[in-house]
Amino acid sequence: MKVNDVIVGGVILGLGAFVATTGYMLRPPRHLAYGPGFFPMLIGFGLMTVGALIAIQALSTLRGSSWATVPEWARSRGGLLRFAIIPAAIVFYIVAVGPLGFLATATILLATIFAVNGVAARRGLPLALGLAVVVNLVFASVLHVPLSWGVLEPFSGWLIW
Amino acid sequence: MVIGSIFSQLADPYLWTVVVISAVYGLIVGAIPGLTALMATALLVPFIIFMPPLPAVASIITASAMAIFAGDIPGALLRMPGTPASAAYTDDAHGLTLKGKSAVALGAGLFSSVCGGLISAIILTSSAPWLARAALSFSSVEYFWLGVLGLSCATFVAGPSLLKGLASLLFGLFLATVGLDPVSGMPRFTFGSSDLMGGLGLIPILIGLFAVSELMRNANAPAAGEAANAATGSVIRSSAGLMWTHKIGILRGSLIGTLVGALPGAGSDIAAWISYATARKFSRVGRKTDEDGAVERIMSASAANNASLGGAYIPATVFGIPGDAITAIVISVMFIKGINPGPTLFLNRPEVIYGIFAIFFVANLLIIPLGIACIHSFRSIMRLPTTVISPVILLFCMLGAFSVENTLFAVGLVAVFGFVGWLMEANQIPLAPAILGLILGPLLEQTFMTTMLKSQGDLVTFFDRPIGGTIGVVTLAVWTITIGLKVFRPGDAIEIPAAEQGRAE
Repeated sequence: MKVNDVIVGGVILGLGAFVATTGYMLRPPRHLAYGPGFFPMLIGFGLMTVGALIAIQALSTLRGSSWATVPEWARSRGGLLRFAIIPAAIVFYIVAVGPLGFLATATILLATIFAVNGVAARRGLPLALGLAVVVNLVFASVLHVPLSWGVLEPFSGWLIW
Repeated sequence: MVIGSIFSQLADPYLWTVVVISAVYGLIVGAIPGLTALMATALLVPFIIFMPPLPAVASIITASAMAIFAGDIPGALLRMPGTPASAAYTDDAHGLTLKGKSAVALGAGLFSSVCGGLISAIILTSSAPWLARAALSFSSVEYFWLGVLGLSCATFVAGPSLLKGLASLLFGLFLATVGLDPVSGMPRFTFGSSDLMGGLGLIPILIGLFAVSELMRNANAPAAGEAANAATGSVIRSSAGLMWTHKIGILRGSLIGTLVGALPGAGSDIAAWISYATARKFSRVGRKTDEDGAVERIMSASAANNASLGGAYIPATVFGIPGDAITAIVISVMFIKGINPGPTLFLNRPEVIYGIFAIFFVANLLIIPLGIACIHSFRSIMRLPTTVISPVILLFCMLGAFSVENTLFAVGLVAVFGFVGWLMEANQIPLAPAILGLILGPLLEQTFMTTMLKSQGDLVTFFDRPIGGTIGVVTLAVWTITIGLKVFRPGDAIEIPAAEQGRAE
């Protein structure tokens, strides 16, 4: 989503103000002339300057330009879903991997994205399960990444060695 | 002694297995339009983190070199560059394919890529030890100015807007300040969270900014077309002879690529565009509109994009300052493996550093047999449906972040920075300066604060050492000239299409 550079500049200016203020509030220890907030303050002032300049530069071309341009695909429900499924899948993974375990979470996650991408369920579901099993085997058994088993804990011996 | 140790390391079958698997992986990822060499490298991290240092770095070198070459294949056959580094000469290569000479187009890319990679490896191997000897006498002042010069270059070449490049750089520097202050040990921007105490992990942010944002951008991209014009004829027979005819173009491209690669922030895509533009403007053959001219331009640009990979390792190994985002990953992997890149590495562990250099020669020579095999099996690669590949890549993104940091917080960072990266790219804010800011931030802050505390705030200290002062003056001159050019000649810029600006290679 493209937004007008006045907004871009404003956001950067706001971020700079936050960084500079937080840096200012970090008091240096008594024996040091320059404390932990000194460098962030310089960055904050830099961000504020750059943000202000971007916004000022964009103000001259403001007339006739829109505040935000929504991409063509975002106008259709399918397009929006295909886009939103990516961050949503990550959030789902974070929430579900503990209780459900990696294998179940990955299977549900892959099958759902396959479905959103138009892969038929009779092909997508076994594919998702197969891929999840292979990835689980590689990461848990070969690379020894401590993947959660969740509700499938009693069956973990089948897929780990 | 060192040579013997290097050969014994190279004789390790485990190393060769890693190199060959990484090569095949790099070729497949590079040949799929939309998947970049950087994404391939970022996704390798969870696997190589468990390997000894040399195979880990060898895996990245091989996969990135292969991916950059493989990007030429869909570019030539489908007019759809596999990686942004191949975009410069896609039209020329596809033009040859339409004339039934796809073997010439692909062969030109293949052999010039190998030459570019080998020439940059020779320059890297011969110049890095010499530079490292000079760097041994560097103090915090020299490292500070080198960091500033590197970040300045990264910002200036990142895109058409200097202000947006600067904003990205400062954002990266801010992200680097999250966690414990390196001087006083006080927490900053942690908001009481124990996850933020150790700072923001580089790998989750890299995966988010470059891999997840790419998946979000491609979520609604049309599927790649059928490879209607598969390579015809022998690649070796039709193009090996052209090497001698276009030797000047290849050499020029290799030198440009190595030099541009050594500049922090400027990756293989920018190297290819500069070399392509140079061939088109200044070469007698490159100006021609016939087949000969197209081959000259392809060879110059293709040599440059592979040469830039070797060039990027010069500042990375000598100073610990990454030349591009791929070497940024290499540096962080080296740190995790207990190898601190920098001049002392050449003294203390020469067998590791020369082993890494040797891998450049091996990887580039491997491009010939494996590249030809990839060209011939391109139809099969294109049959891999992106609707299936993308979700699997997303799963690897999450697992990659989790494997490195061992926390779900890292997976959350992937989501946040994936969205931030997508927003930044949609608003033409380049991503590379942010990553380099994040990596160089601690070095820059530590050297800046050390010098400030040492000199009790006397800024003259930044200029009173001969080498440090010279780099400082050069940096300030670069800033003055660049800002002057932007103010007085605002239209001047390297001609890189907006879509390619600021993208990873």
